[in-house]
Amino acid sequence: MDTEKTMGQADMTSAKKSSTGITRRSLLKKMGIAGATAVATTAAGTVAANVSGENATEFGDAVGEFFQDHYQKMSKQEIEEALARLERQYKRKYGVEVKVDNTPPQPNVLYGYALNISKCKGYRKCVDACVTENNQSRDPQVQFIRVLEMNKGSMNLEESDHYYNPELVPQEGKFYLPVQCMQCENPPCVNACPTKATWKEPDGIVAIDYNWCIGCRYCMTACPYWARHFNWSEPEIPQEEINPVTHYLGNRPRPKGVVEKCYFCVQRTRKDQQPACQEACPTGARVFGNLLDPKSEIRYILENKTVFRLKEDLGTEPKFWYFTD
Amino acid sequence: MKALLERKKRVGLVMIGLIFCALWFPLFAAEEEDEEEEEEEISIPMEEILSFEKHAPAFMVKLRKEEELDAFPCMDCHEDEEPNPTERELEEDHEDLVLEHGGGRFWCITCHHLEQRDYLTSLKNKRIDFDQSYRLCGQCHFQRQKDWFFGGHGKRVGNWKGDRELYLCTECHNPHSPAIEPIPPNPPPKVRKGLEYVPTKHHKHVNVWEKYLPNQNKEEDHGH
Ligand code: HEC
Ligand code: HEC
Ligand code: HEC
Ligand code: HEC
Repeated sequence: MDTEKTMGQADMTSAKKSSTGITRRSLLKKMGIAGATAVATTAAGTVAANVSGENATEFGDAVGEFFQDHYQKMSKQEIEEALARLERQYKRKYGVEVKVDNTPPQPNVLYGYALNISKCKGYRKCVDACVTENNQSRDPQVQFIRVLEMNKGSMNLEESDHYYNPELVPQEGKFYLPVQCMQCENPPCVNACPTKATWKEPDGIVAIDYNWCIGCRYCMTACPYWARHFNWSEPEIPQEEINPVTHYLGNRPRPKGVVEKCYFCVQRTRKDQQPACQEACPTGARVFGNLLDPKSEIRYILENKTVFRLKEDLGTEPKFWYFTD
Repeated sequence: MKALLERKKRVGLVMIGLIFCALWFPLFAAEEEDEEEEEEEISIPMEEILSFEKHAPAFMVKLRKEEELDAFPCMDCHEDEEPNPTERELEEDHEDLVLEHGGGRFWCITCHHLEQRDYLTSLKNKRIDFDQSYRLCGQCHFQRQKDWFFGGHGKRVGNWKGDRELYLCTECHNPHSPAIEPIPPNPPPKVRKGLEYVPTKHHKHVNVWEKYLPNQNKEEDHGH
């Protein structure tokens, strides 16, 4: 597999090309299910055609799901079928009308995030808003944002604590450093993925196709920011707490055995809305926007504040900056 | 001082320009237009030239006075009250109001208009609408205000694109006691089943927040 150092549009094409190299199917073959796969592949066309539409059965949908192609290789119609199938599956599983959309990236938009650590007070409001918005498993708990309590005057992450629980925050002598997926411009997780189930979208969001992830967790090892999380068991979300407004690459409910992480609330931000964590933050510590718009707030921060990124020496080029007043 | 000199020079230029124009009007018509524009610019008050408001990307604010202020309109009562500028213990009303701002350096009428109680006031005694309270704060907190205009302080509500709506300073700061008080945090994450929390002081320079409980499956990896 070739490593991807290019950005945006160029990346899409290179990902497409390389996905003809190793695909999930060829990987499955190598793993010894060659027989079943081969038989099923020939049957795929006919079976899938029979099960789509109103009368789709649970079994039909399962078969359709198995033969679903990689997100970037699906035709418009195939994607629409996949979205409809997912909506039926969620209805069966959760009893809720979940809408799975596929809003495309906006042209001339590259998302960036900046966080003011002199404003963040460690309330964890962002953490909980994120869980609710993004249909994260409540039990076992999955959280995209990890707020690290740090010793003032030190950037030593090894001395941080994200289980802090004093009566009041902020605590004397501490500051708070929320960490989440930084949508690296040069993401090591993408390079680590053997099935190309994760890639960089043209608006900079590092996306995951949960239907293509085989749960090998190489990406988790590769990520220097502890941003990726694995669904060890079946995610549990109370029915009444399901957020029914979802995106294929974003907050649609995930199955057991796949990796997930923050995607800058793709279901919101591609529709001009702020990410849920920005909306929830009462201090205004979080600034989100378009890096390509010279009048955006994020550009003002980058041009007028002293900003830094975590583990800059690794060359990952995160699109998530920290700054102080 | 330099600005003042500059200004005098320009006014001088305008006057020379005007004399020339009077003599050879048709020839200098174009120049006259230029000079007029310059004169207009000079007439803008210094406070506004200093203000970044005009240079920042357009914005609106989330309004407060009608929606959020219980005591508004103030004139409901103050119509009949004789304005009283003396610093004193308030007893008949507003007795709960704690004025910590500035550590005793100002009294109500530093910010509230003495006669027109439905308005705030600038230090030069100009009326300021309650829904433009950032103009009041900006007189003394210039840098914060500048950041606020451009998105480096405060908060943009709703969307990152399109109409830009900002929180007023008073959405977050009580103007009478503006320091932001500590509050309880939301609950911490749960340690994943099979793992145990490692207090920070025991980290010993490895990146762990959790460790495996004895006799657990060692294949699972750390902390995710
Ligand atoms: C319910 C009636 C009421 C309303 C409404 C009210 N006030 Fe007052 N206010 C009073 C009274 C009574 C006093 C005199 C208190 C004293 O002397 O002990 C007072 C005193 C004051 C003073 C001290 C200066 C002075 O003239 O005595 C200020 C400043 C003030 N009010 C501001 C406001 C503002 C600003 C509002 C609107 C946001 C407001 N008030 C609304 C009743 C009211
Ligand atoms: C530093 C400037 C400042 C000072 C000093 C100040 N105020 Fe205010 N006050 C404000 C601003 C700004 C608001 C509008 C608050 C908002 O938008 O929520 C306000 C609001 C009020 C209100 C309406 C509150 C409500 O929730 O309905 C009252 C009443 C009031 N002030 C009274 C007083 C009195 C009495 C004093 C003196 C003891 C005083 N203020 C001193 C700036 C000031
Ligand atoms: C007349 C000048 C003046 C005006 C007007 C003014 N302030 Fe202040 N402010 C001060 C001073 C002086 C201090 C105290 C600074 C210090 O003690 O170091 C202060 C302190 C503060 C603080 C820090 C409080 C703390 O203890 O951490 C905040 C926040 C603040 N002001 C917000 C505002 C807001 C919001 C407004 C508008 C409603 C405003 N100020 C209007 C002069 C002003
Ligand atoms: C979204 C909420 C929010 C808004 C809106 C906001 N602030 Fe603040 N402001 C904060 C927070 C949070 C802090 C950090 C307080 C701290 O460190 O204790 C702060 C700090 C300050 C401080 C410095 C306090 C210090 O201790 O140094 C000043 C002064 C201040 N703000 C003024 C303003 C002014 C003026 C405006 C409007 C132009 C404004 N703020 C709007 C949230 C806000």
